Order: sequence, then C-alpha cells, then structure tokens
Amino acid sequence: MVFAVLVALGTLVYNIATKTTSDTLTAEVHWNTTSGELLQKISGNNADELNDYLEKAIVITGELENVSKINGEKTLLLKNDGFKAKILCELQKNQSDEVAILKVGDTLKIKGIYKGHLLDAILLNCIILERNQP
Amino acid sequence: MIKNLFLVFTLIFILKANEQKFIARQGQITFFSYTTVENIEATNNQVLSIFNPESSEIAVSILMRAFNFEKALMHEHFNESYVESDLFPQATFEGTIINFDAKSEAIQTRLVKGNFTLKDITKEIEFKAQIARNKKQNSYIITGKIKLQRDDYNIKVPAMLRPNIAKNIEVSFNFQYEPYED
Repeated sequence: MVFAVLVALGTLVYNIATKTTSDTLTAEVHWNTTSGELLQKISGNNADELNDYLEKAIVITGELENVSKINGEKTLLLKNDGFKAKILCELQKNQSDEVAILKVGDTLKIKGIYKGHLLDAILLNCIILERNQP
Repeated sequence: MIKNLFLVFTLIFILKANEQKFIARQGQITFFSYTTVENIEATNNQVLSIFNPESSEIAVSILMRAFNFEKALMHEHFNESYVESDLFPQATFEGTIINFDAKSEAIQTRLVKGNFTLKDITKEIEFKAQIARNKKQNSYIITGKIKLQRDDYNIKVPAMLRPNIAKNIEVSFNFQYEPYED
C-alpha cells in the first residue's frame, strides 16, 4: 500500500517537473478581438486594460504583413492598420504545415498566449484557426 | 504604466537627434544556466532594440514573460519566483559602443558599456560585441555574450533549488537592425 502511494507520488512529481508547455488549442479564450482594436489599446491611454489578458489565450483577426523565421521559430506579423505598433505572433512548433501555405494579405484568425507589449504586442505559442485569402 | 513610460523615455533619449536610427523588433536573447544538477536554457525571440550608429547609442527592452522554456515548470518558476514578471515585466539596457566607426563595413569587435536594469536594480556592465554593417541592405547585426551574476539582481532561489541554478548566468544576444522610420 505504502509502495503504491510512493509510486503514485513519484509519478505525479515527475509528470509536473517534465510537463512541456501546454497546447494553445485547448486553452480557454479570454478575448476575441481584431488587430485594429488591440493596437488602438496599446497606442492609447488604456494599455493597462490589457494586463487582464497576460498569460491568457486571446483570438485576433487581422491581415498578414509578413512571416519571419528567426532562430528556427516562425513569427507572424499582422498589419498595423496605420499604427506604429505591430502584432508579433510567435507560432507553436506544430504550425509548420499551416504557415507554409500563407500569403501576405491573407486574413487570419490567430489564437495565442498574450505576453504583453513593448512597442509591439507579443503573443507566443500561436496557432492559426482560420485563413481567408483576399 | 511606469515601465512603459520608462521605455518611451529611453527611446526618446536615443531618438533625440535627427539621425538615421535602426530598429530590431525581433532581437534574440538566450540565457544559459549550467550546473552539475541540470542545464537550463531559455530564448526570447521578441526583444526590442534601437540603435543609433552616429551616436553609438543602443537601447534594449526585454519582455520577461516572452522567454521560451522547454518545461512549463521552469517557465513558471522563472516568472513567478525568480524575476517576478508581474512586478517587473521588463529588463532594459542603455549603453554606448566604445570607438565604433559607423562608416566601416568591416566587422568590428567593440566594448559596450552601459546600465542593465532587472527587477528595478541597475548595474553598470560592459561586454564585447561584434557589429556588422551591410551597406547594400542598409542594416546592422550586433551579436555578443554577457555574464550576469544571479545575486546582483536579487534573484531569490529557494535553498532546495540552489544547486539547480548557476550563480553566473551566460546570456547571448543577436539583434538584426533595419532602418527605423520615425
């Protein structure tokens, strides 16, 4: 009995310690927005409102400006609708097939984990939910 | 809000003159902690930096939450316990490249001196960096390595985990700059 409990505890500790980052697909969505609305908040006086979404999944609809590949990681840049800021969505590693068919100007619906902003809004572990060609 | 204001002031400081500035929106910073117990590595691919070749000034802003870790638990410990990202969301560096020749197309290895701020603690640091100019593309690449002392920045590690986290953290960086349209 004691041995079984120890094994169960050991397994639990091992699983917690070795757990990799969770899949964004299953994360609860806390905000469904557009690139324009997000950038307006960042560029305006109400950027602090975005703190409510830190480390949470949000969904953004916007137009693709560029795909960058740095250090093996692919990042989508969404058009800035006239704002100086941009939206940077670093993709989850399993998105290679989806990103291969993207074209500049596509309207994308992206889900990612909001990390905050510097000049630009930064999301990590992004996945592409929908793609509409112009 | 105070942190954002700091960033704005930093950028104003470096953008003060009517000179061509360069921006890296997706700079990379990787840190390594090597111990006999375990090695920890994390990379941030979304680091912001502004570089003014004429004045040799450089400013860097790092969103601490944007580091990628292999394990979710490492990410949690880093943000919640060690760097306390809720209270101190950014780390910053403001400095100057010593004896930098903005017109040279050769790769220059130069000393960089400036102030690094993490958890509201500012320390003067200096390190070597390699600066490469691509005249054709009107761009610059700056790379290098720094060693930071864990204890300099009030990073509290529980006694049980101390053997897992190195006292000297090695940090490497790579910034690719393009012209910044003001």
